[in-house]
Amino acid sequence: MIMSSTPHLIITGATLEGWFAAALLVNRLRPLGIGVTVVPTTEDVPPPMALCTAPALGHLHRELKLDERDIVRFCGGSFRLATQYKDENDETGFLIGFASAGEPRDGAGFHHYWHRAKEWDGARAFSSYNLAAAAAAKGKFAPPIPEAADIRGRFEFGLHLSGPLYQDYLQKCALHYGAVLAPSSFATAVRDENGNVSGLVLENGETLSGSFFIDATGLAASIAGSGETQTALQGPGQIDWLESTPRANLSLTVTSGRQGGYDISVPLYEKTVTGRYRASAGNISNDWRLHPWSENVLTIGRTAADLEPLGAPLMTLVGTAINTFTELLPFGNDAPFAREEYNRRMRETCERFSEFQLLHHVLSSGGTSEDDLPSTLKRKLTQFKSRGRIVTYDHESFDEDTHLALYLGAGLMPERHDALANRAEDGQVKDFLSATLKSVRAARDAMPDQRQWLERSGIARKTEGGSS
Amino acid sequence: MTTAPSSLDKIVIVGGGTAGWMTAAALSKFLCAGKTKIELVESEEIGTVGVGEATIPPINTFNGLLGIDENDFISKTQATFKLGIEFTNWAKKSHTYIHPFGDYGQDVEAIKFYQLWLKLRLISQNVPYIDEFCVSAMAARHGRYLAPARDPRQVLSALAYAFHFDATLYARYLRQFAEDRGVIRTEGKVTNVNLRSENGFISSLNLEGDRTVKGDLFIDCTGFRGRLIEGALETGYEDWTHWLPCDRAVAVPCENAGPPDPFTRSTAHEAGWQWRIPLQHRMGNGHVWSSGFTDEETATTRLMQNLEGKPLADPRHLRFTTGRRRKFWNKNCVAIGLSAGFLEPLESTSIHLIQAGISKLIALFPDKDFAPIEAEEYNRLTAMQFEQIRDFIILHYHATDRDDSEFWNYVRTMSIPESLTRKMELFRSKGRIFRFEDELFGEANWLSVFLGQNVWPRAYDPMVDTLSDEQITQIAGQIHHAIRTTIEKMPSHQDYITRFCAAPASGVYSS
Repeated sequence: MIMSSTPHLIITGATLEGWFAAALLVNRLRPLGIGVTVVPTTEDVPPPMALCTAPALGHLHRELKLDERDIVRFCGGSFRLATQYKDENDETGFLIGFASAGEPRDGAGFHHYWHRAKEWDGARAFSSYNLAAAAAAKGKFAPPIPEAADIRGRFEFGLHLSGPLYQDYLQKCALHYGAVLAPSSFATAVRDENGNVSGLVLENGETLSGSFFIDATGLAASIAGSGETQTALQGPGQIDWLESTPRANLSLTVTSGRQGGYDISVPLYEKTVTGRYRASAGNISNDWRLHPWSENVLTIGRTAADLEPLGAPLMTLVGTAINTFTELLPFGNDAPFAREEYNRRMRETCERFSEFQLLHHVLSSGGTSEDDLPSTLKRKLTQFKSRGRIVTYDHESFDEDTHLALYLGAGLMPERHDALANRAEDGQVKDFLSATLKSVRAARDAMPDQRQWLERSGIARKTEGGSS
Repeated sequence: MTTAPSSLDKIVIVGGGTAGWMTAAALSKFLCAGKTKIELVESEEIGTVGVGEATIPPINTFNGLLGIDENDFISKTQATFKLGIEFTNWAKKSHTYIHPFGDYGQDVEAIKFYQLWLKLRLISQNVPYIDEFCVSAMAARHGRYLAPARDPRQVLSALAYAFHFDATLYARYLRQFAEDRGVIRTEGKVTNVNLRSENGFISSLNLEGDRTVKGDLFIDCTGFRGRLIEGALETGYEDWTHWLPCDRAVAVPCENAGPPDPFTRSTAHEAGWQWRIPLQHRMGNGHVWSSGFTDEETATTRLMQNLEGKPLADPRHLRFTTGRRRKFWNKNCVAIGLSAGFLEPLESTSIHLIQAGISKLIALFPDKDFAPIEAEEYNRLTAMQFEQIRDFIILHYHATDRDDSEFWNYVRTMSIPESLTRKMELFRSKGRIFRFEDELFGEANWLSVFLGQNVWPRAYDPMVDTLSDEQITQIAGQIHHAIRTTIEKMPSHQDYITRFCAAPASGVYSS
C-alpha cells in the first residue's frame, strides 16, 4: 500500500459552479494540504438570474457551516417548499412539495389508501396530504422542528435565490475557506506528452501548474474542449429571463406550461424572476457529456451537462458531481478506476435527471409519445399505471415521493392499488385519511406567512448589493 | 380510468418445504382477508431438501411482519443465534476469517471507519485485525450473545444477527401459522399439470386418486426440479456452472460436541467446502462439491471424517445446477425457492431468496388479468438479485491464493463477470466499495470478504489524511476498548438460549 500524494487543484471558471466547487473542495481538501485556485476566463458562463435549489443543497450548506437564513438574506431570496405545475388549460394544476404525503400503514404506502378512497370520492387532491405543498399553497413557512416523530419535523425545504448574488456569496465563502483567485484570466492550457494538462498560462504571462483541473467555464469548456455527448430526447431550447414585481406567495415556485415550452417563476423577496424556456435551437443544448472526467480534467456544471431548467438541474448536478468526485478522489496511481466509476455514475445521474424532465413532458398534454420513450421510463410509467408501484433506479436525483406527486398530480391514475391496502375496512381508510388531513392542516395553519416571517426575523433583504 | 381489480379466487402452492410454507404463511397474513383461497399441495412421500438452515439478518424482518414471537420461534425450531460465518481454508490453507453481520467501527463524518483502520496499519505497530472493531465478529469469536440494544449510542446497538434453525421445524411452525389463517393443506402427489389451450396458463393439477386442484395462480415450491415452472411450462434455465462449478452436496446431521457456536462455519476442501451449522439439538453438516473435480465417495468420506459428533442419519446426496430459471414468473406460475434457481448456501442466501421472492410477489400481486408487466418486473428484479448474490459468492472462490488442487486452480484463474471485476478493481485501488442501492450485501459484507480473501487496497482514501495520526489512533482505541468491554459483559450464547429460548428437552419438536 502506498501513501497518497497531495497535489494542487485548479478550477477554471469563476462561475457559479466554479465557486461552489471551490468552496466545497477547499473546505474538504485543505486539511490534506491541497490548495484550490480559481482562474477566471473571458468566456465564463454568467449565472442564471434566479435559482431554485433542492433540499439536498442544504446539507452542503451545513457542511460549509453556512446558515441558510444568511444565504437567503444575502441573496434576496426566500424559502422554497413546493413547485406548482400548471398550464393554460388548468390554472390550478398540481403541487409537488418537499415532504411525503401521509404515512405508510400495514406495509402499504399512503397513496394506495388514497387511491382506494378516491374510488368512492373520499379523497382530496393528493398534495392536500403533503404539509410542504399545503403550506406552500398558502405562502406559509416555518423551519422544520428537530423532531422526526412530529409532522412539523417531517418536511424539507429548498431556496429561491438571486443567481448573481448567490455566486457572489459562494465566492466570499470559498475565499474565506482559503481558495485563491488567480491574478489574471486564463489564456491557454499547457499539456504534457501524455495529453494531461500540466498547467495554465494566464493573460499576464504567469503560469500556474497543477496536477488536477476542473473546468467550470460553461459551454466554452476552456480546457476540456468538446467531448462526446448524449442529447436529451426533447432536444435543445432557449431560455430568457424576465423580471417582474414581487409575488405575495414566496414559498412556491410556479412552472406554467406555455405553447412550445414553459415559464418558471421564482419568487425572490423584492422581485419575481421568470425563466422563459422554449424548445427550439437556442442557448440550452440539453445534453450531457458521456465522459465528464477525461485524463486529469473534470468538467462540472454547465460544462458537463446543459439541461433544460425543469426541476432545477444546475445545483443538484453540481452537488452530486462534487460529492462523487470527493468520494473517488483520484490522487495516487489509481485514477483510471476512479475516473471510469465517476463517468459511469454521472452519466447515469444525468440520464435519470433528463428522463425525469421527459416524464413531465410526457404527462403534460401534447408531450412526447410514450412509444418513443427509453425503456427505463416506460417501465416507470407502466408499473405505476398498473398498480401504483413506483420504480426508481440508482443515481436518481428525485425520490419516490417526488415521482409519486408528479404521477398523481398530472392525473396518471393507477388501474388499481396495492392489495395490502385492502386489508383495512372502508371506515378505517376514511378515518386514516381524515386524520392525516387534519394534522396537515393544523401544522399548516400554525405556520406564519413567509413574507411576514422573513421581515419579522430580519431575513428580508430590501436592497440589492454585495453585502447585508 | 381506474377499475376494480378482478381478485384471484384461488392460489395453489405446490410443495410444502420451507419455501411452500413461508409463502403460504405470508400470503395468508397479508393478502387475502378471506377473499382469496389458498391451498397448499404437498406429498409426504416426497422429501424436502430441508438443509437451508442458516439465515441472514433480513429473516428478522420476515418474522417480524408475520408477528412471530422470537423466543417462541427459536424454541420450537431448535434455533440458535447466528452472528456471522467463519471461513476456513478459503484464502489459503489454515487461514480463517469471520464474515460478521453488522458494521465495523464508527464512521467519522463522511470517512468510513475501515479507511481509518487501513491508515492505522501504516502508522502503528500491532494494530488488531478489523474484526476487533466489529461487535458481531467479536461476540461470535467469543461465543457470546445478547439481544441488540435499542439505544444507538450503545455499542451493542451495532450487533446484527440471524438464526440457524431446523428448516423442517420452521416449515412445520409456519404450517401451523398458515393453517390457523385459513390455508388448506392437501396431501397428494401431482400426476399431471393441465394447461389452458388458449394461452398456455396452468388451469389445474391432477393429483393421485383422480383428484383435481384448480387455481388462478400457481406457486411452484417443488424444489430443484421445478415441477410446474419447468416440467409443465418449460421455462428454461441459465447455467452458471462455469463460474460456480460445485454441483453436488452431501448432508448429514450429527450430535453436538459442545455448546453451539453463534456462527456458521464454512471450511474449504480440495474440491468444494463443508458447512457446519450448530442447532440446539444437533449439528447440521454438509459438503458441497464439484463432480468435475472429485467423486461422490471421496466427498462423502471427507464429510464423515470431519464430523465432530456421532452421525444421526445416513448421508443424503443432492444434485443441483447452479444458475437461475430464465423466468421466475411465467404465465400464471411463480417459482419460489429452489425451483427459481440455485445458488450454493455459502452465504446462507437460500431462505433469503424465498423471502425476497414472497415480498416481491406481494408487491406485484396479480389479478385475473395477469398483466405481463407485473411478471416482467418481478423477473427483472429477481434476476438482478440472483446475479448480485452470484457475484458475491464467486468472489470467495476467485480471490484465493490456493493452488493445491485442480479445482482451486480453475476458480482462481477463471474469467469472472464484468460487474465483479469492476468491484474488485475499485476496491484494490483505494478500498472503495461500489454497490447498487438495493443490493443485499452491504459495504461491510463486501469489505469483510475482500480482506478475508486477501484482496487489499493499494492505498487508503486520501480523505483520511484530514485527520491527524493521533486522532485516528485515539478513535480506533476508543472503539476497540468499548467493544472489548461490551463483549466481556455479554453472556455466553448457550446461557442466553438456556435462559430465554431453550427448546423443550424432549423431542417434542425434533424433526
